[in-house]
Amino acid sequence: MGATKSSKRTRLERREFLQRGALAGAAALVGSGGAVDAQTAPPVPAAAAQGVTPIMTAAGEAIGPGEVQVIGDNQRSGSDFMVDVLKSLGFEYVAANPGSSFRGLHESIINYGGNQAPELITCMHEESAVAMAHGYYKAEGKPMLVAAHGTVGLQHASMALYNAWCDRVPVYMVIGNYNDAAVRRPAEWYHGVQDAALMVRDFTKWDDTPWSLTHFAESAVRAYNVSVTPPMAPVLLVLDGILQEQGVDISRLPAIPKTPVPSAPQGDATSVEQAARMLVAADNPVLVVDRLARTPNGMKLLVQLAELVGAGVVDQTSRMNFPTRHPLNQSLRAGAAIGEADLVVGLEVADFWASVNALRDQLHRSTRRTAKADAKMITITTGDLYVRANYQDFRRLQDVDLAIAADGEATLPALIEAVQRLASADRRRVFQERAAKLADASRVAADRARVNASYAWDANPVSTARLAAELWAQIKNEDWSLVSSYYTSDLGGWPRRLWNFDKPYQWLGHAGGGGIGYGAPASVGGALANKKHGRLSVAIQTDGDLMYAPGVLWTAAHHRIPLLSVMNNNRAYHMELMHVQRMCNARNRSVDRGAVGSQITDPNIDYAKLAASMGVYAEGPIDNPAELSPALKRAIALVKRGEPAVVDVVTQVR
Amino acid sequence: MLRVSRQAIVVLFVALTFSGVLAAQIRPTPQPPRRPTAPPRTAPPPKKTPPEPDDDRGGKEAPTPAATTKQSAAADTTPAGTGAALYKKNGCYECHANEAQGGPQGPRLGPTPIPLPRFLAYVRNPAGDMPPFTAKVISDQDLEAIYAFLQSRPTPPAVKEIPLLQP
Repeated sequence: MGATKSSKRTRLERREFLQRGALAGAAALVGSGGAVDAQTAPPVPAAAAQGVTPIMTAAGEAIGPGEVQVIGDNQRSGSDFMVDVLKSLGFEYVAANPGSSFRGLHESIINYGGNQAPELITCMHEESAVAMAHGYYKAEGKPMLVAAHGTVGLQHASMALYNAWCDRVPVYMVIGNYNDAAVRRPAEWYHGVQDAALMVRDFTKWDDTPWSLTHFAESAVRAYNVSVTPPMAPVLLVLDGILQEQGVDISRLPAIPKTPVPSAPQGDATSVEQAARMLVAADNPVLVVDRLARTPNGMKLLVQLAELVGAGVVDQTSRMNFPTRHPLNQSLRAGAAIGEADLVVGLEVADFWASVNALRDQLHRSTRRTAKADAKMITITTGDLYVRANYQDFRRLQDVDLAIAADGEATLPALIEAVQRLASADRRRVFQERAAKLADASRVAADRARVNASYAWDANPVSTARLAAELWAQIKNEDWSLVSSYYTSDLGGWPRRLWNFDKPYQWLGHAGGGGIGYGAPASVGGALANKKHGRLSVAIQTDGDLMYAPGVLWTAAHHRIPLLSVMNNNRAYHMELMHVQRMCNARNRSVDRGAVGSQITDPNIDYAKLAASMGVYAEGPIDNPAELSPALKRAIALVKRGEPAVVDVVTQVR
Repeated sequence: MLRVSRQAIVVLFVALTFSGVLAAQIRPTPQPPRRPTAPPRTAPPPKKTPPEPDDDRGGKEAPTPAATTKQSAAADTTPAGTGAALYKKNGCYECHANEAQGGPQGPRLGPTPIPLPRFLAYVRNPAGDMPPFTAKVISDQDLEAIYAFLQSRPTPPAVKEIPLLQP
């Protein structure tokens, strides 16, 4: 029945389209007979009065304004129907910076949709909106909707989309565009485009430009399913402005497809069996994981597998894969763990080559293998199912003994079952002895990390280890979540060395594509997801990152998003500063000018005033470690009441 | 008549819209309760980092190595004091951190560095990713001063005496 109903509606829409064409033809015929006096203009065609916009022609444009047109009681705007479809997909929020090309959808969201599910989150930059959606997904496990202006809005958003694509995170984005050039207002010509999605097609998984509401409904559901099926990635729909704005009889609205999300691809039984045999037979296997844990179950499965075979785990931390204090966690001695292994199993590792090789960054670049020469290797990754040509995120190709093109988390149950079946009692004893040795090594590495943290303990500016320890002392008894996630925004790894991460939402991973400016908005997005769970969201916020689009602090204040942002303010784009120094050295020149162009000083930025100007509680700058504890206590008390807060801490460079 | 009628309709529409009559017909948008504008709740003025001896910009300097710390901010012509300035000037702090305590890009160097001859040799011809410093860029004499600075770094308290570092 549903199919029959849908077919009938499609035919009706097609008839309406043909009717519009016939009206345009009639208008053209009238126009060919000479100018039409506006005073004696023919009556507005019946179809137009019903909300069907005729295709504009010279004659049509000469017609005077008709009666004021509003959507009839028996009609819905196209964008009202779009909201119905988007609601069916379960979006909680839509992050957007306003733009006229999606004004129809904007109005439908706030009025027809009641501004609930999705609720509009006002953003100050499209890049912030997408990065918020990126961070939200990693905390909540489902996509956030992003709406943006066509062309210019998408251009602003493009870097954040690239980050999400590199990170294989679904972002569901819609933009507006007036496809019909004959009805564009003057400004819409700058924003109008033939193929709006073209500029991001290399780093989105799928896009479409629906030409009817039936087309929209199908593409909207398809886009959702495509985006959340591993390998996951952003998707984009281009919504025609007229399609959003015109009315459609309620009785003729198309059905909303109800296609379930496809299951994730699992490794084939033969390959999984082979991987299990190699794991059981190995003397010293190591599990290297990166984007493995898609869901909370991912961590449980990895713990189960590691404990079953007594294998060390090296977590490359693009996701919260493995508890930091688990005795089998070898991440603090990753080089040694991989170097000792006779079997390296890569589970959703973005750069497996770099896991078992090293590149020396000198004038003459050279490489060397860091794994044993005869170490066996297995990879299980959806990376083998999805390779694009232009952007080179696929990395170097590593020779391996077994490559399983499948989702790592979805394949783990079968792998665990096979290992359980194949492991004899003798092998299980070996596994236990190996696990005990790994636990000792892990304990030694953790002790060494604490000793390292003690150096420069009382230094001024604050050492990054001290800042991490002070922050941990304030949050460790809370239900906390570290929502910041840029390469060094986690203080060069100090939280992972000193804190006890054992819940899936306590770490959200990295930016993906290395585009700076991700950290602040992604933190706000993560905190937005954490809000309803009552978690204490904490961000370690780098200064250079925040200054890309600091307006996201206003978004946090406006929407009452509780988030403690502690500045890791080293007053420089420090990584770039180091690169310039490297060039000074390579050219045998003095390095004392190496900081030119990379430091953020003269004047220093007052982040507390910046945050306060947007209604955010703020303290600092603090450079004395003794002042940290009381400042953090005050800020956390406020965050626990539901507001954002910033504590600006001037830190050592690393 | 027709034109007047249209204008009247437009005027009536605008009036109704702003008078709230039409607004009553649309679904109200849930809004969070407004709160008073947050006053700037900044902490007391920051304590300024004392400017370095060679810094003429009145404390507008980036966090830099030990020369900026309160303990060592005063002019220091000892080998260690000279070394502190050279440690900064030559960018050692960029990887090994301000107090030579090490970081993700470079190991800890003080207060017990490797023997001086090995130190000098390594800086000229490093392994791994450390960039090489030739004699044209930095003299042996300056490296020896930096070495003195590294040796002068304070020994930290034992971990067991730092409550925040207990497991």
